[in-house]
Amino acid sequence: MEINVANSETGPGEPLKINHRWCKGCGICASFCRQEALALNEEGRAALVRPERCNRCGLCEDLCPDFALEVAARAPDKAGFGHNGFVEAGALAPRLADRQARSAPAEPGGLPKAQLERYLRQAKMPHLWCPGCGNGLVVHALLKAIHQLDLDQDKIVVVAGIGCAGRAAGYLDFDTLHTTHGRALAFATGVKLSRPELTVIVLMGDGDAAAIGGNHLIHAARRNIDLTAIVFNNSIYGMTGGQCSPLTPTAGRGTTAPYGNIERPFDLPALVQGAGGTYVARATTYHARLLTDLIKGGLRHRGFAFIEAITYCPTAFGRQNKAGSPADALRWQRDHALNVQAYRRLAHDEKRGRFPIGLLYCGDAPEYLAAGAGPS
Amino acid sequence: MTTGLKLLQGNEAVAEAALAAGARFFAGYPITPSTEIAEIMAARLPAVGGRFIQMEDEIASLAAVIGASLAGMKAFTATSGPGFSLMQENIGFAAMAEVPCVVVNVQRLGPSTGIPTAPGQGDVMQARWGTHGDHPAVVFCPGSVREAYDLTVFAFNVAERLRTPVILILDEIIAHMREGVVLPVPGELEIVARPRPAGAPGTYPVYRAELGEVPAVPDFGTGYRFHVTGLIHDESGLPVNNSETADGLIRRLHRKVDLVRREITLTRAYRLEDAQVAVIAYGSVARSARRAVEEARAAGVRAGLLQLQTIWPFPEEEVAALAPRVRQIVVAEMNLGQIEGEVRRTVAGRTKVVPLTTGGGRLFTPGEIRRAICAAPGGRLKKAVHQ
Amino acid sequence: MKRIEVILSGSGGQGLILAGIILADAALLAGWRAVQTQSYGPEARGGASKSEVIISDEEIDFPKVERADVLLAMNQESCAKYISAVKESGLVIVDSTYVARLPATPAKTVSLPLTKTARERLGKTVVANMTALGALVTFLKEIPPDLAEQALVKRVPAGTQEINREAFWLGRELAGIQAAGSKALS
Repeated sequence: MEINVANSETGPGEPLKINHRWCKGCGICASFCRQEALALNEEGRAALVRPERCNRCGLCEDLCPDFALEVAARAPDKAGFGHNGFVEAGALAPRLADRQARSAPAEPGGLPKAQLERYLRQAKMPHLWCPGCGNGLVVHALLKAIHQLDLDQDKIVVVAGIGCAGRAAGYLDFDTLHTTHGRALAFATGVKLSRPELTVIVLMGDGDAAAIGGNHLIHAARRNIDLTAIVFNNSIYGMTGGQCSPLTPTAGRGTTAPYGNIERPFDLPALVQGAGGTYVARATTYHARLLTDLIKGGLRHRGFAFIEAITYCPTAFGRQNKAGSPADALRWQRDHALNVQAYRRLAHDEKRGRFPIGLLYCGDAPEYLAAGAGPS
Repeated sequence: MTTGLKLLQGNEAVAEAALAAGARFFAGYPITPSTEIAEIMAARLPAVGGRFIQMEDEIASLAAVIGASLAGMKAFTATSGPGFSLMQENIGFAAMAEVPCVVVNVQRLGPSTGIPTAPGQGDVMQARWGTHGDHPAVVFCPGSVREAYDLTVFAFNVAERLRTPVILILDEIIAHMREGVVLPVPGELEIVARPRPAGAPGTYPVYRAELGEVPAVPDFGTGYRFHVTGLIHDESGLPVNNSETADGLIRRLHRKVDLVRREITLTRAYRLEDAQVAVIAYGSVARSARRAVEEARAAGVRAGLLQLQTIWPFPEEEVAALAPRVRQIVVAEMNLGQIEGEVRRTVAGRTKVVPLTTGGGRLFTPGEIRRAICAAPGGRLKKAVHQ
Repeated sequence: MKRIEVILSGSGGQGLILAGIILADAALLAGWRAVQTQSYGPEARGGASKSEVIISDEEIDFPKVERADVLLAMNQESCAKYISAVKESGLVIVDSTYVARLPATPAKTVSLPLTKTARERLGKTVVANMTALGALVTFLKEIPPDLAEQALVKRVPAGTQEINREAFWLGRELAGIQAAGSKALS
């Protein structure tokens, strides 16, 4: 196929701006563009090779983990197909659309690039994550949620654990605390109790949250303390080179399970719900808008809010498990996730290999700080 | 006829002093023989607008303390050996990230579970080196209930002034004893608050060393939007991966403490002016040693006591000054010899060092220390002394 | 320098640590200096538990008993364990309810049915520690009993002041009967 390769950022007036310094060439945008307007250039960076075909749907911007794309004048009617995961619709979809319409400013799911960049410590960009790592997508969803709720940037504290996910804190322009491995929720508890008016968001990887941090996870849930915890679940210990985590699937490969993992993974939402968490949700990085919406709901929720973000590690997980390119992984997420209503209607053996996404549980219990402590 | 003395327990004194010093956050986990501190804080903090939380383990306890301190509260925890071991990683974090906090370790006989209700002084080296990497340590040890009060206030002040974790070690005897004391009136106490930034938010380098090599790091939620990490970082607080920055940062953390060494190395000298034999001791052992000094003098040996109230930084100057003046130094510790090594190092062979040790978790009697004092110079100390 | 060393001992759960604390409180009220320490095992009940009180007119250095002026032993085990620590000129007070055999000692001994009397006259054994304390301060002239009572009222759990005071006076009564018939600690 003959491709007109553009070697540099597209100029003003173009439908799509590409930051070549931040783009890591993961190929997600090129793979997903239904108009085939995007491809990778000779340097392996994204390029708008057929600008005339771009219909400004915004899908590429939503799925870019590097914050490298900006669609000018997005066309909302072209946006939002499929990657909300609601091709099957179901009862949840209309309610979701309602919520989006009520809460969103001009563009449902939109976060103008200029504002996005105000939430980032730009001098530290581009981030250190691998090309195609889904962590940037989780962060993007978080920033959209913060933006749509119009939260005060000076009153947010992001507490992060150790691992690739934990590195997110360094890139975010809030008060940020990068803790010891597994202990982010405990540090966050101290912050929140000390200054209850601050919005405290906790970012953890699956190993950080569920292995070494497991005990703190169940106690934060039990206390129902007003934190919003987001677990970047890529089912592996990425930063240390690909060892199994408590979320690695049975038979999955890790460097510490060269013959296949014999253990069963946690069902994190069930664990957190069982421990007493009152807002329990899951989405994937493919379901970008759902993820944003669920994070928004978690931030608004008074109590322990837990969002599991299924994400992808192309390097440490992907290679060992032959899970394909970053774009392949997003398609895998699309094909295996099912909105919770539809999932619950499936027969038992139909559920194999699939998992529910959406707001899995929302309950009512006294929030820790509201319970009060002191002589009566 | 009352002298105005009130009976106060060592652990109670620590809790009262913490409140007087402005502590308003406590996170801890029950562990003998420190639990009284947690229970008192649970009862007292709500009334003063403070926060108490019993966390799920000691790791989480110190983590929560660090979080609360970063959000602006004076915060502390209390534990014993097994919990102190768990806290080591986060002690290093507090040192690296320059977070003011106080960790109280009421030592039991160790190692491991040991005898939870028996005294020991086996954690003094751990208090110096328990966490990995090069880090300074500030560790105080009271020898009476009143000293427990005073050194707790001092610990908070030093933690705030230097933006560093300060460890207060007590032995179980001091922690659980009740002694008639007169406490200072809270209004009379000098209370120190951490230095706060002079510059406005924006590009203010929150980890830039200011007066005394201490950065004026802001509190969370005051608009500075800064980063705190245990990774090596530069003045912005953001992580950097280079050798020169690492070396500079680590050395500054040490210099920060070193610059105030003479102000924070507290000792009490008792009859050392004309001493022929010195005893070095700390905690409850210093009390036995004091009586032993009296008994030795009655027996014709001019003895004196150097009580260490600061264990780290080690009071080298005071110990070195003794070396040329005495024929031997008895180092009496409720362990198998931990400060002994520091004394030997400092003395550098200029005088004899005689260790008096025990692994048995009991306080030396004055007689045992007196016999060590009075033993002929060059003579061997009978092993039976500490059985 | 005057220094009085007192051991209060028995099994865990008999409340001897509280009794020691009250004794120390009383000593402070009377103008003395005082230090109280204890040692115990892990059991909340049973075993051997000991509270030590040092009373002095000068600053107290060594906080433990070396040679006791008074030993109160409320069970056999603690009596056997600590009797050898008592001075020749000292006094041993035992609860005859539980101490059947008094080991040989050069010190004076007093055997009182402390717990038995508390049970019979007050219907409770839990306050026997106050009965013991009442007896003890009767023999210990340095501690005015009314100050001990004052201290007791402040230390016992709310709502139990009355019964504990009764128990205390019971002990004074038992000791008074004894003292009338034998030499007390001077």
